[in-house]
Amino acid sequence: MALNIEQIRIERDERVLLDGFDLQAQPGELIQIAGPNGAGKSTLLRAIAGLYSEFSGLIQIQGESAATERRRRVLMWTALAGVKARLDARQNLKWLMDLRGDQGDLDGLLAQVGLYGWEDALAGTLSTGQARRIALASLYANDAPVWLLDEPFNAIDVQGQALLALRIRERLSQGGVVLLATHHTPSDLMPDQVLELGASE
Amino acid sequence: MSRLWQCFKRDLALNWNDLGAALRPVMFFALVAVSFPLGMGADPQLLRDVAPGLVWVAALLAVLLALDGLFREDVLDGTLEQWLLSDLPLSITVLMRLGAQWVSNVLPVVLLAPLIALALGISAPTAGILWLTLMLGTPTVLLLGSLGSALLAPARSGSGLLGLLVLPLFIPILVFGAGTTMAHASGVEVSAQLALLAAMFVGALSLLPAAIAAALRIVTGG
Amino acid sequence: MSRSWQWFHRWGSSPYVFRVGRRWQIGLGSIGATLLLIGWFWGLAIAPVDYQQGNSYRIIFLHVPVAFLAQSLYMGLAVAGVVLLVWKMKIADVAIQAGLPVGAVITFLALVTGAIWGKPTWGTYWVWDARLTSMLILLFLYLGAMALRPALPADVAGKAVALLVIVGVINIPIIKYSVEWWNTLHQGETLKLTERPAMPASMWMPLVVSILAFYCLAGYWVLKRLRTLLLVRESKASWAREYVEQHHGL
Repeated sequence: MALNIEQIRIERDERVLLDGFDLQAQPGELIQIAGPNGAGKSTLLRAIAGLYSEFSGLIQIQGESAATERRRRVLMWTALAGVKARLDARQNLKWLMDLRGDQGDLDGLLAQVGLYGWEDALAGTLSTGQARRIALASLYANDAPVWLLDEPFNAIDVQGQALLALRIRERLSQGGVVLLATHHTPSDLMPDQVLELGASE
Repeated sequence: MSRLWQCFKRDLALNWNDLGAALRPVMFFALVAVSFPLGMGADPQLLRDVAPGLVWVAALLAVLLALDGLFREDVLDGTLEQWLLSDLPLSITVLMRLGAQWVSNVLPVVLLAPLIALALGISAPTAGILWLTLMLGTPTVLLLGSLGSALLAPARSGSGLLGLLVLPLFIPILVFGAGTTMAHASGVEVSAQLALLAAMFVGALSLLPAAIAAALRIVTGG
Repeated sequence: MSRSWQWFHRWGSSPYVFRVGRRWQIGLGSIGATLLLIGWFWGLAIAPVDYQQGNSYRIIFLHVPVAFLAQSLYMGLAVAGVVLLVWKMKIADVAIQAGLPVGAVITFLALVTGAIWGKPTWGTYWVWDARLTSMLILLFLYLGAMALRPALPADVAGKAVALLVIVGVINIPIIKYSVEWWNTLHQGETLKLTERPAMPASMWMPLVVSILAFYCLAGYWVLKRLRTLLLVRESKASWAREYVEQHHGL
């Protein structure tokens, strides 16, 4: 099993965000975590990624439960682009790929996401959507078992959204697991499981 | 290994692309060092006596400036999370960042310091010792201060809180750096003290990167 | 092995600590007050006049206990920090939050009493000697740790403060050593405040009693703050609400 989550309980700021949460995912599955803002979607994703440790319960990725092992097996997108304004697109892409140990042709990847000609542009001069596409380019080179994407369709332009959906489908067919945290269902992706968070008290 | 070297080069590039920010510490250093003779009167003997401590304190404040908000940008643009997720050891990536920070922000201060010292009347050999204490001491100071920067990564920068957190930790390096210089100026043999400064650096280098990595994980919820 | 683990585990439960803490609080408070009365009466009224300093030396019955306490308390808080980071027991975080202000006040008292002692002894309120200067730096370590908590989000603040305190405690010996060396650079070393040639039993015995008294009273104070903080932090828990209703009729 690629992803095994059992009986997760997360409390934050004296609110119980999750209690008795379970999720099992096989390779190739697309999981949507839905729920309103503040329901705990981001916290759950960070807990799975091994960035957040204040929870009780079991999280395993490919059978590994230690946070350091889980971190190695995930790729995570947060609400922020993860791109440094003072570096150019190529440097940013190389940096993201170096962090994850990925290889690839930088300029080719940038061209694939529509940033041909923008390789030397400082990311601070790009639009938000274009900056996000640098991160998108890094997805093309990555094959981590679990992808955790937090509201990935925000802050990216329409063309980028289409490319992202395409890449997600491609990754799923390669056997990856993709968790999408979004309260807005993407139209051209059919999740295998939808989990709803945040039943209000 | 080459991935880490790439990190270092990239961090240098990051600082190079914002040269103004990188030069702020050295300009601040110069201003502070110049303010003292203006504030105290230009009595040459007095200036020569206080110069080691004065230069060292000014250097500490300049390093503090270089440290303020060091990780804040990484929190704000989301790159810190990517660092935390990487399989590259966090203590080493942090060390690369700090190394780049020292080279671009602190080294200019260290290079300017002997000139300021000479202007304050210190003899050339003593200025050389002063330079050596700064070369050995400022990396340690940077390491200690980065721990504060890491703990304050989610907080607003410029609040002055960083100084309160880390200046007490700087005291030993200040004491030995300035004290060694003053001892040399009065003719004392200082190789033991220099060795001690070097030992402090080695100690800081081996222990602090892991502590800074732990601090970064702690303040992001790990 | 499992029995000691159980014992350890129990201290992680807030209602347990709250209940048991009350007995300790009362105990430490009464013992401390009694010892203080004995120690101070003995030291202030009975112990002989010092041949060098006259009666002004008697401030040591306040200064020495708080000076020792200032450092021990910081080390104790560092231990609590380790407990928090390694065993993740939340009670350690509450203990640190309870203890830091107590330590800061005690350190401040140590500085003030040191200054008060200094005036009749050396003619000046402040001297830059190793001990006083180290104590001043200790005060800044306390204040820094206290200032960190409000600057961070609540769920990470406790662990961050714990890390800072641990780093501080490792630095304390280094700071002391460096300040002592710094002191030797200047001629005319002043009299070390408690390194006296031979303190007669009639003086160090009340001193020991006073020291014990202050340790007990500090324990009382920290415990009192700890229990109050537990009520505040867990104000939504049933045990806390019951207690407040019972004892304060709210």
